[in-house]
Amino acid sequence: MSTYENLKGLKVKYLSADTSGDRAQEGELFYNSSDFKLKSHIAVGAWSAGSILTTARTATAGAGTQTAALAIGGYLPAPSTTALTEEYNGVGWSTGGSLNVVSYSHGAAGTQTAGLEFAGGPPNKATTEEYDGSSWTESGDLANARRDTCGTGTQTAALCIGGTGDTDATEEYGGDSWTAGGNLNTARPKSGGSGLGLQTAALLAGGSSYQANVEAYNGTSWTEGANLNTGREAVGSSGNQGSALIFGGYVPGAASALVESWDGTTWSEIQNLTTARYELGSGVDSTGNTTAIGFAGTGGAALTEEWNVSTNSITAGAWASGGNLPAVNNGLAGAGTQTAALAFGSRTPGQTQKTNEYNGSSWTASNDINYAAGNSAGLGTQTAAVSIGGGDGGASNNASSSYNGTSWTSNNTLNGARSLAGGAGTDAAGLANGGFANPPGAVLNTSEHWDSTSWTTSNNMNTARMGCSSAGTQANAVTFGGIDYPAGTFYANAEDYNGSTWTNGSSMNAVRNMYNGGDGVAASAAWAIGGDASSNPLGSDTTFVELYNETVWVTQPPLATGRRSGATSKHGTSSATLFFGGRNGNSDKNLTEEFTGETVATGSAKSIDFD
Amino acid sequence: MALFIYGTATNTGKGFFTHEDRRNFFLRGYSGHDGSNPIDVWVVGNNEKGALWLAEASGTEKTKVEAQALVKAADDIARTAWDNNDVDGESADEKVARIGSKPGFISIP
Repeated sequence: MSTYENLKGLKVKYLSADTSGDRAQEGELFYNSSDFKLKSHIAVGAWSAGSILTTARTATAGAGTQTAALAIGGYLPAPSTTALTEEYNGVGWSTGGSLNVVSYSHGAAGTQTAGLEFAGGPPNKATTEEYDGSSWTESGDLANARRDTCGTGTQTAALCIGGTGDTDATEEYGGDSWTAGGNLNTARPKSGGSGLGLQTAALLAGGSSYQANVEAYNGTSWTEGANLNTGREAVGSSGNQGSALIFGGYVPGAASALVESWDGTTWSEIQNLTTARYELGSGVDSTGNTTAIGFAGTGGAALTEEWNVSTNSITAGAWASGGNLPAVNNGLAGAGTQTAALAFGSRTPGQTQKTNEYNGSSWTASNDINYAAGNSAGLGTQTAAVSIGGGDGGASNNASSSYNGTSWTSNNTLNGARSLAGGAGTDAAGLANGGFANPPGAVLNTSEHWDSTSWTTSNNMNTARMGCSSAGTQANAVTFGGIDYPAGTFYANAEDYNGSTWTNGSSMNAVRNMYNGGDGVAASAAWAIGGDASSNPLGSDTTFVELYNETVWVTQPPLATGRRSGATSKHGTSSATLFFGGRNGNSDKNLTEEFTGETVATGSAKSIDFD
Repeated sequence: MALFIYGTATNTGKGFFTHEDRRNFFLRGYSGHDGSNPIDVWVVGNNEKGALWLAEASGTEKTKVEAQALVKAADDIARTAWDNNDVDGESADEKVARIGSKPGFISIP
């Protein structure tokens, strides 16, 4: 007789408590002698929110996996198309290489570092491009131009299936050219997102018009399979012939959130997507029905969702409302952490010298700063903070003061007047960089060190800018964003600082004037929160948030209310940051938002009921 | 089915929207004006939890046209205030440096 151990490699245990943490294993059986129950850790599936794309789009094509995906081209909300490719690393999206030929309603296959894109339109396209992880190169055209098609497989063994222009045809890609494959039994003028699996073992599920029909491909011909429960088109998909997911899509008159799971025999409805959508992007992942990624689409905007079947419970990172400041403020500065923050100075009349402390729930007024500090910068903690310049109404000043948790004391002055500068580090080892000096009306590239007594000039940044924001320490900092004057050039690039020299780093995904929207106790987890992105479609009060690891910027969940000239806690971490005050439209805001990062918790063991 | 519902509700601070709310539905806030006072305008994902949130926030549901009109009213006030915020002898560039560019019109999704 076979045993559970022989079958699954897991012994049935007799324990006084549930297994937990990394000792818990999916499918293990144990008897808990304390509560007299036979138990197991059972994997359950759930959708969780991922980070947003840098650019909302629909009719995009997807490739890769949940931890290494591509979003390729697509149709923008405005009447235009995009060649933009974005790369997802399991945390956030960053900008990749652009297609040579702008495309949407197209197909894709392969991985993030070996991707394939083809077809699209209207007008119908036959072009094919290959991606190497950084740039696209044109390859052999399809025999028949088409749009609203789908793809699956790998960069060297892909399928293009159906679509307007050749509704029942399959073409097979061999790494440089396309050849004819078997014809579908049921033509599909729109097959977008319906294809999954490999070139020699593929599945096509759904498609127009509201098809429930499913067909399987063996590398030569298509065979009818079990139908979906709900017919639909323009879906997302993932998996293989024996284990797959179909999600979202368009049903008559509406976007759908429905998800169906295929176990090789039956399609079963499982947990819905959080956001109904169609013409979405999804990965090309033949792992099965235990992992998937869906993103963008009509109704989905820039939103990403991840599917995981696991014994763990994944809670996505998100922003929540925090306690409101006592008064509206813009052009204020900050210091501290999410649960012990400091807000001081302001451009808002009547608030220019106000100081407030945050305890994780509410703000309490403290003693005023001893000069008008609008558009100043901050560094340090709630009990040891330093102000950098600023002035009445945002004028520049060489003033600097230190806060000890109770009151402010004037410091030795900066070596030059500045406002809208970057600040990082601590009360014992601080950094001020960039900003605006008026008079004479000059944008600055200078930087200074604070040693708890005086400011000392350091080396210049590569780019003079005001409204740049900084994160990290005096010995390892990063500054990013900002704007020139009077040219009005917005900057996206970061500069990395090693305590002596500034070196050009990676550019943010969204170019913008950061004001004091930069946070991070370490340069390896630098936040760029909100800001003025009026040089691009994100607008002057963006909700856009991204995180830098000294190599690449990736998107993060957005603020609820976009703001420019708000401030952060400066000593935030990759899992906890704070953004407060700022301006939305013409309104100064008293709003606070708190970010808490993704958490993964071991699920509780389930009792086995014999009744 | 419409993708969003629209409404007005005053952001009362901590707990007004939670991390769970942000995971459950789309939420985006805009500055509006009702002719007398500033007002917070919200675009909310049209699902059960989004609708429940607006109700629990003591919100007033609006049509998209009504919500856009409230936002435009705030935009109009902002643009007029910008036009009227002049300093004698100041150049256009200096004005932009002092108070920023003239606000544009915001379109809600």
